[in-house]
Amino acid sequence: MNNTKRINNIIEALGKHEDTVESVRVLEEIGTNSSIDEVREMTAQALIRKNCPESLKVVIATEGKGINDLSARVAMSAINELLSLEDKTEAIKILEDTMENAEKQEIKDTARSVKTLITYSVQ
Amino acid sequence: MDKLSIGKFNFGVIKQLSGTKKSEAQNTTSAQSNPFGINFKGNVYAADVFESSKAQSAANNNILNKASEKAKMFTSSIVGGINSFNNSLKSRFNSIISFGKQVKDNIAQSWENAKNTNIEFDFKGLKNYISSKFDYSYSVSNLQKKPVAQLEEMLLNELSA
Repeated sequence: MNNTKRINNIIEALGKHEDTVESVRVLEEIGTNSSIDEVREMTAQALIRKNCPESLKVVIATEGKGINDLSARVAMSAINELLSLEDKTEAIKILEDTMENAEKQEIKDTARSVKTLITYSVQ
Repeated sequence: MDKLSIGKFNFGVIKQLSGTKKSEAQNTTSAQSNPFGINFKGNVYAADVFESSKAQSAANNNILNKASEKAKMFTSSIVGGINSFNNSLKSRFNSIISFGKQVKDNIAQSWENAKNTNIEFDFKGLKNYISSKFDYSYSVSNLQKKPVAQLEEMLLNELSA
């Protein structure tokens, strides 16, 4: 088993872990701050699949992470993962909170456009 | 009532009958003028299609001779064919028998070789190889059971490697 596969499995295991608070903390601290695009991409996907308020806040409302990542590939894959969620109610709630309460205008705009995408995809 | 008289008799019918007789006579004369002519749907074929009886008998004899010759050739070819088939069959049987003998010899030889060779299984190496290929300690289901602190450490190790 190669290194990338092992990293992918650890991130996936953290995404499915029962200890939500601790696993989200590890993913946020190590995964989303990694210098490797692939690791950030995998981490964002794992956090979105977790589909809980703590994990969704990291990828939606935090600057430079998830849908706000500087890498277009990471941001697009995070948006795609949000669109493919079966239950989008929690994600929409976080997006609306971010649109209202985010400090930076860029983050608000990104959240608004992603929310528009989700509403169009639902219809 | 009028009396019948020869003078009043209508000769028109007699004239018509005589006219048809004349046309028939003309046809017969035309056929007589061309004795070998065949009237087929109004077309007359003037070609002489008949041959003399002598020539016909000679032709019949020739046909009979040819037929007998052909029959002889046919029978000889059958006999020849049977002979060649027998020869080919024999040669094929011989080749099959030789092939069978060769296979038997080969099997016996390979069995002797198998008896004389030592087969050793390197179970330790095999186990290492399988465990390297299928590292179950890094499967998602196994990793999920571990505490988050351990997973954090493993992730850091893998990222620094």
